[in-house]
Amino acid sequence: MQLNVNDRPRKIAPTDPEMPLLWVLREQLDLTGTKYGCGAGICGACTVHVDGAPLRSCVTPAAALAGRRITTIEGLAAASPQHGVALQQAWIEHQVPQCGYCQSGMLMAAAGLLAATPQPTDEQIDAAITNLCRCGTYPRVKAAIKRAAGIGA
Amino acid sequence: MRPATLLSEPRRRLLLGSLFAAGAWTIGLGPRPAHAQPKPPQVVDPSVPGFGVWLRFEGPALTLLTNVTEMGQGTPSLLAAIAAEELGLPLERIKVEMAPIEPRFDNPFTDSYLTYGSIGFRTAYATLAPVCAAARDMLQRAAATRWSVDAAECTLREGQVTHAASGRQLPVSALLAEAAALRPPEKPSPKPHEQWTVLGQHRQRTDIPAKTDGRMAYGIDERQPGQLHAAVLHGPGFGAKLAALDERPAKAIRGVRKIVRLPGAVAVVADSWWTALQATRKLKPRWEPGPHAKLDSDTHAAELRAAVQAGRGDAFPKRLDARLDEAAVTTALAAAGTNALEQLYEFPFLAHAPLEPLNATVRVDRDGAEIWVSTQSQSDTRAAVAKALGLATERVQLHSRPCGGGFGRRLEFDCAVEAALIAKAVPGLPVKTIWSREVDMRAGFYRPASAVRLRLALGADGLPTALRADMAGARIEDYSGVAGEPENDLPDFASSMAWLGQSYALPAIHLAFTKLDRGVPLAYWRSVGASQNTYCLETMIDRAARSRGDDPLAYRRRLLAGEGPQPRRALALLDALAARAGWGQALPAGHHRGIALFEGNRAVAGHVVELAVTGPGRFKLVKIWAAVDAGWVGNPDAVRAQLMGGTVFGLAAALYGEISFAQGEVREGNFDAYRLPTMAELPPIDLLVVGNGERPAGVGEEGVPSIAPAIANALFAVTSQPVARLPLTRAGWRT
Repeated sequence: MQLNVNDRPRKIAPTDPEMPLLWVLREQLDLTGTKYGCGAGICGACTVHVDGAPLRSCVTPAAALAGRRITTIEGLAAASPQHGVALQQAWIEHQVPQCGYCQSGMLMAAAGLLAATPQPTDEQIDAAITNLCRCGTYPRVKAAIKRAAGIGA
Repeated sequence: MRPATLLSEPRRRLLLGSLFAAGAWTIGLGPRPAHAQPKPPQVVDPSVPGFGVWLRFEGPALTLLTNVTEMGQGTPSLLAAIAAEELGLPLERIKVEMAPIEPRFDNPFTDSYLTYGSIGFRTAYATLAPVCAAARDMLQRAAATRWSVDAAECTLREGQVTHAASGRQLPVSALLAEAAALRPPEKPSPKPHEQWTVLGQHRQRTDIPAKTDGRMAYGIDERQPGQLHAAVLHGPGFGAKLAALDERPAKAIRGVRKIVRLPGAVAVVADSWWTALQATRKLKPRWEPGPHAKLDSDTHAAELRAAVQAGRGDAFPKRLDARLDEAAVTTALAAAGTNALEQLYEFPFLAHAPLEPLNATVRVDRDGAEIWVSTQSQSDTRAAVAKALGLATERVQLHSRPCGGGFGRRLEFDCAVEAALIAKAVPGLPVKTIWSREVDMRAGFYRPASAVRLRLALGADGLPTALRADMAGARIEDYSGVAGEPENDLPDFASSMAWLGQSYALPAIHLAFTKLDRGVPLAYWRSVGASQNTYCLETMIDRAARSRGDDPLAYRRRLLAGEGPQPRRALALLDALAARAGWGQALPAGHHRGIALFEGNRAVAGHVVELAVTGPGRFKLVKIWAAVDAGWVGNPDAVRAQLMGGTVFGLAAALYGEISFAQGEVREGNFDAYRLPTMAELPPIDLLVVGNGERPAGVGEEGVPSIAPAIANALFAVTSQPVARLPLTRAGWRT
């Protein structure tokens, strides 16, 4: 089987057809920036983009994604030279991460939001960012998204 | 050298006494009498030439070795700033590295590696500042000798040693050999706090860029050649034993390598973790139930209530605080009559739930073992793994990784020990064991559940004359792997927290603890006992204020009218917080406010909450103001982050946090049941950081305790009904 990950064709060893994308990324492709947090599609630490839209990779079988364009945090800057890079810079400027474990997913969710809604309102940010952060970085996540979108903060 | 036992004397001192000499008050206990104050350990040995073990100069660059874990708090970045400050080196030339796990790199205040208790900056400063100051002194003397001038006239800046009067200058790297041959000064003099130019300034943390592009490697990201993956199944509740197992359904799955039977667990080792997880779900082991198989949260809550009502707990010894006086409290409560307030409070077990589930990668072979793990307790974890494997500690090599959250859970080494036993069954191959979220959530080592019966006697002037707290629960020190055999006369360490050493005018205090242990493993949870006791104290203070129609802020100001730097500092923070929030201003209709204060770890912190009641039992948070006096502020932005994080951590517990039991099993398994707030649930949070102390204070835990009582006090303002049970959902309140 072949997957398109970060604009590269990647060969995947035959696996259980149910195996979620998360574990293929982490174990077979060594793309460990995408994290396991809950395994149930709740926390969002595993968020990647499929054809540019955020998706929770811990509950999505890899086999269903052949031919789709998969982007992980490692490929965000290349895939999204405008929003992705602006978000990463804003993340540093606002010193968003604490432990950092949820932040790959936060950034992917934020990049997906800006791709669809380049000037989001606070309500749209709240609705799009359902990721969980145990360190409590939410206010800085929101501020950095607004900064990257060029709307104050 | 460390004694063989894990419970070494100095560490016990850290847990139970003051951290440093004079003027310290830890999160739990008040200042001890002078004779009982341990001296700060000597960190620079003037009899041995050289820079010591913590500094490694390489040409123009400096590497600092540390025992502090990066777990989101940014302490390692702060260490570089300490060295830059003392040595006049540019920050970009300073690297911070985890020290190898050897006794010579122990935190001298704990005789171990421990990142907890809000001690990171405090102990690191107390260790590293003198070490760097000594190195500066040696470099100055080396330059002075070379130039035949007075050492005091040689200054260090931008990596250069300069003698201004003669215009001579050399890079630090040119003087290293001569300086290292000198003896360190008897008493190194760190720069006075007022002269800081690097510390105290906003600086970007060095760990953050790698946390924005997927590069940061946590324990769970470890990848060793030939590595296998393990998932586990634990018996129900705590203490269940594996009785029978049919391995065939799991073994039939392609990619499964081995089933490992442990006393209270079954592990599946496979080519992929997901395969291993699926295989555990095919296994239907038979378990022999543990001794508390019937544990039920409601029944347990009832027995905790009964215990505090009976009021026959063990008293806390008078040596902890001069105000501890049972006889005086009994007399005052009797004299107060109807002017005595009483409340019974109830608190649940809480999980730390760091977002990186517990995991460890271990390889065991004939020569020893190697472990890669995200941990807050490197030395204890290493020793525990060695013990479990029957190896000498020296034969276990531990590689410490940054933590995807800790909050106290990664002080415990239960997962690491289990991972080691699993790896032992597959000798020579590295095995990464990851606990699924559900296994992690149900594995115990929780914040204890407790009940507190609090009585506050008021005098004719409305001020307290006595406080009595009867507490019941189990003891963290009976379970935690962190050393903590309390002194024999201390009934429970966590229960002392937030009652003693406080600035409030509480003339007489009686504390009693009834141990009621139902076999649930317990651990230190961010802010520990203060997460409960501050709630009791601060909500009771609002009751006292409102019983006389006093404003809660004005009443607290009266309680802080005492002499001395500590009450003055607490009052200053309270006033700054109230001014920031505009306390006392008219509020929109239906809006209410609550305020609460916390003192501990030499810090003062507080919250103001504004909320709107939106229906019966429903409210909406409108705004939160949080403030902390961090003593000396090492990096204001990092302190703000901790205050914000602590606030959200405390808020999660206040709104939803509960681990509950039915038939001995933990009900909550994932974040659908153990809820954390999302971005949409947070109101704006205003942060105020001040530095108004004589030394660094803790900041990691200090944002947690006062948020819940601030909310409860706002709800009390609405209904005049005390909120006596957490989480708020259990008291009939939802957002």
